[in-house]
Amino acid sequence: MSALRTAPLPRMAGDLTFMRAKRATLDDLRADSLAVIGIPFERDTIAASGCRFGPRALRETSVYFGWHVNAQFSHPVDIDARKQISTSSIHDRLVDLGDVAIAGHLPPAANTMIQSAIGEIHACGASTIILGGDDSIVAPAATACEGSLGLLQFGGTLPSVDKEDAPLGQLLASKRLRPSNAVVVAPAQNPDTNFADEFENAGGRLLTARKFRRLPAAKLTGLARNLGNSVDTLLLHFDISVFSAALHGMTQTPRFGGLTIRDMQPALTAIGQAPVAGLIVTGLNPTKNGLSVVKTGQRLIVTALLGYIYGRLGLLSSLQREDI
Amino acid sequence: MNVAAPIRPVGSFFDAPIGDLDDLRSGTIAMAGVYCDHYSGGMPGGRLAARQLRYASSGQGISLRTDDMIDLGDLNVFPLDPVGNEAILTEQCTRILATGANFLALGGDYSVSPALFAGLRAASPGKSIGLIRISRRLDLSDVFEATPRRDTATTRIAAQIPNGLSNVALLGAAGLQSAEEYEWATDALFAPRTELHDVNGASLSICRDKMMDCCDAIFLSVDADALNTRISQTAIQSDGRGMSTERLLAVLETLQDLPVRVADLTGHLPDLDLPGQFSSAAIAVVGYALAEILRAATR
Amino acid sequence: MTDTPLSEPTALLRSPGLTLFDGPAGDPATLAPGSFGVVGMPSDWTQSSRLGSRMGPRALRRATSEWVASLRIQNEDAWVDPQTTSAWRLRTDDWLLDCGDAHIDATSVERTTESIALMTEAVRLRDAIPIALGGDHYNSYPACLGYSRAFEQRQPGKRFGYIQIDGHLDFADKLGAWGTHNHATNGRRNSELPNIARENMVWIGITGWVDGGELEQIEGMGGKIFSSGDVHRLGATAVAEQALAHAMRGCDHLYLSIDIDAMDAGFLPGTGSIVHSGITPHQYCAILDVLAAAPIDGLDIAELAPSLDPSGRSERIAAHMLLRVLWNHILQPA
Repeated sequence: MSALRTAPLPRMAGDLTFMRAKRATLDDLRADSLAVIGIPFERDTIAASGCRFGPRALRETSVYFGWHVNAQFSHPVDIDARKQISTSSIHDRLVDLGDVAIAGHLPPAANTMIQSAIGEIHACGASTIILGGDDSIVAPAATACEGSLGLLQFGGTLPSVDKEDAPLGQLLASKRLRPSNAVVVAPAQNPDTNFADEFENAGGRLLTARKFRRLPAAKLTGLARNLGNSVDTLLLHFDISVFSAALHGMTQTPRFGGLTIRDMQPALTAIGQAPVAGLIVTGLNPTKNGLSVVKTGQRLIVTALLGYIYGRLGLLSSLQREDI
Repeated sequence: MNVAAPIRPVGSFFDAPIGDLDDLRSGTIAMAGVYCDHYSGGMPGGRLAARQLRYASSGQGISLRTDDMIDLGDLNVFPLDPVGNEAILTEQCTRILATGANFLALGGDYSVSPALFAGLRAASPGKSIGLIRISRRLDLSDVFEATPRRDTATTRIAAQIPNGLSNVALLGAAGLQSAEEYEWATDALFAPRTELHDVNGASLSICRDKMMDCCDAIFLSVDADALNTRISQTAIQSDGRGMSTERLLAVLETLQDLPVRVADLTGHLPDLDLPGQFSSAAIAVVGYALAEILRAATR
Repeated sequence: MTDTPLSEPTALLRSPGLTLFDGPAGDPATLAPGSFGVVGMPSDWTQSSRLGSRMGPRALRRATSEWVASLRIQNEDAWVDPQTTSAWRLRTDDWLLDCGDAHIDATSVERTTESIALMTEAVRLRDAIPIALGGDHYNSYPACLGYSRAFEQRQPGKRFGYIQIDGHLDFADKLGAWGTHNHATNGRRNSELPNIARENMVWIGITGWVDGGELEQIEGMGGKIFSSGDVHRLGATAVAEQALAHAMRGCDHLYLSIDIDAMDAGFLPGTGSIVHSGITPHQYCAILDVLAAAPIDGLDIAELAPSLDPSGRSERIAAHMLLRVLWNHILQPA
């Protein structure tokens, strides 16, 4: 192949794939691929218009972290953990498929498109990073997966006993998900008491932000691994509302007392080491009034995702830390 | 469910296929973004035009002909190294044209056009080459000729043409211009903005006919500053007046039969608000009109 | 560079908000010994990510003047901090002179570098302390270059200490297409100055993933890095004290470079390369309070991009960072 470019591009120029990953089609996927796919869809285009721009905003921000294609930044190290990553394999395994072509479609057809796309990716054996979109993409994406389902939900909404509007409610009501295979961490609102009782009595786990912070990383990996081993497909739903709204403000479901990046990045690194089939990012509204240029929400999400990607691809190794 | 997965790749210019030099051949329209605005002499921002044009021109559900187009990605640039920047831009333009493809450069500012023009010159040995520039400004300064600034760009292009300004057409000038530059512009084919109101008028047809007679290969350079500021923000202050998109498209329509091998679209400072795509969508339409001129030139 | 004008005239106009802390404006040649000389560096041409810090100097001048005006409007001559019960007055003598902006040339990093360096050198040669207002963080290098040149003339053979508060190391030798002189290389270029104590160089607030090669080089030359995690773990004051002790080993003078992006973007989003460090305004101020007592005789503050934060709080927080460092100069005990 005769290449036009013979030198590095400026950091913000060039192809806006996620973290500068290679473009790919379904035919290119392997069982060890980590496939990024956007679902630029939102259910409520009046009150919460903007989540459909999430995939674009996340890709744009992620370019900053495209280290594996930058020869001069070839071995990044986590300054606190002193963990080094070997970037060489990222380029082989992290690929960007593009977006589900969902613009203009209403929920019944949109759900079918989501199920079709996610189903085909998982049929290749690849695991996914799904860039939403609002949380209405979660249930169809989960429905597309084969066999029994496990769900780790960070942030996001909870159902009440008689309402199924939250994705967790839809999955429980349709029997697609058993409560004992679901863990919810730091939901965006206090749970309805009836739902909480019923859910926990049936084996589901609800962890507040405070409880979650006390979990050691090894225990978290163990929890995710055990859950992953007991189901056919383990999904991770990562809604931006898991973060304290004071850190970004770019969500339709602001909450206080949520987690920080210092909680989420190590957590996702730990969970990434379990057999997670797919991670679904939802809830970022990059066009929220006055915040279009601020971009803190997308940076928060992508920074947290870095931990997940490095953990998922098994790239972390330890360096010695000088004592201070 | 046996529905084929409806997945659309990450956006490219006009949803055209992504490729590299090996994918180019005679008749292909090669497109590339230019991430450089350091020598615009005004506000930065043109560096992000290519990105926003890709956003604005892809995934819109509009069916444009793209089977003969290739998006090459962005060109290598060295924003802080004027000499290295010009050299690598010229080299890339030359290599693209050597495949037989015609070339459309999108984004950046006019200061890089002389380097791309040098690529056309290198790829057109023995041919008579010329420039058609559509802009509010003349950019004929020679005060800072040694610098890469935009306001010397037409001067630096004319210096590469054996016939000098007589193979240059300057269309759309408006507002205050340096008296000296205005005097030099009379050596070129010249039609200020007021004379473009009638696309069937004498000025435009004289320019077109003379360029057709004297040039074997033309570089067509369009600056977004020719448009009114309702459409596009500009690097250098303007009074806000300018052509409508429709007027500019009508002017471009008259250039369809010319032997244009390279076109560029410069000077667009996009609105970076994610939903704020109006300006980039309008500029993308102009970009596709340039692609059609390049397509017509291959016939 | 004898034909380069020493400063741009914009800040010489006398109008509220056009000078830092609404102070007087004038030529560096009129600086009083021991005072502060303000040098604007309105350039983001060397910033590789999000633009806007070229408006930083203007925003810092506006926000610091706003703060001064908020005191003056009360028509009082003394103020008390209820937390410490200490009483303060605004200094009325010419403790600061705003020397305007350096000439910025987008087409030449070299000319911009020399223009800024000429101004900070001129300020320091008057025995005044340069406060250089960015601009992107590359401009720290020319500011420190001018300081270094004056330092060599004033204290030949001596060396100075250096502290950089920053979310990033900025220690690359080259940044891809951007070459050797840009906002990712200023720390490295500063480390190459002949009279900087390289082994004393300290970074505070580094966050996330850094280049392993840069880390090795800094620690290999004896430099010290305190991450944002260290600030949380050890406490801001303890980190600042340890940093200062490291930077001042065998040195009597300190150059301080403040990149506002070390603060968590939730508090301060108006900057080009945001990080989620968790460093709060309270912690940032605690660090600056310790450093304010150090023998700083050269200072820059960089990367404020007001257009990236429509709320305006970023410029106000950045103004307060300057206020903390200059507390004992702008105010005096009542």
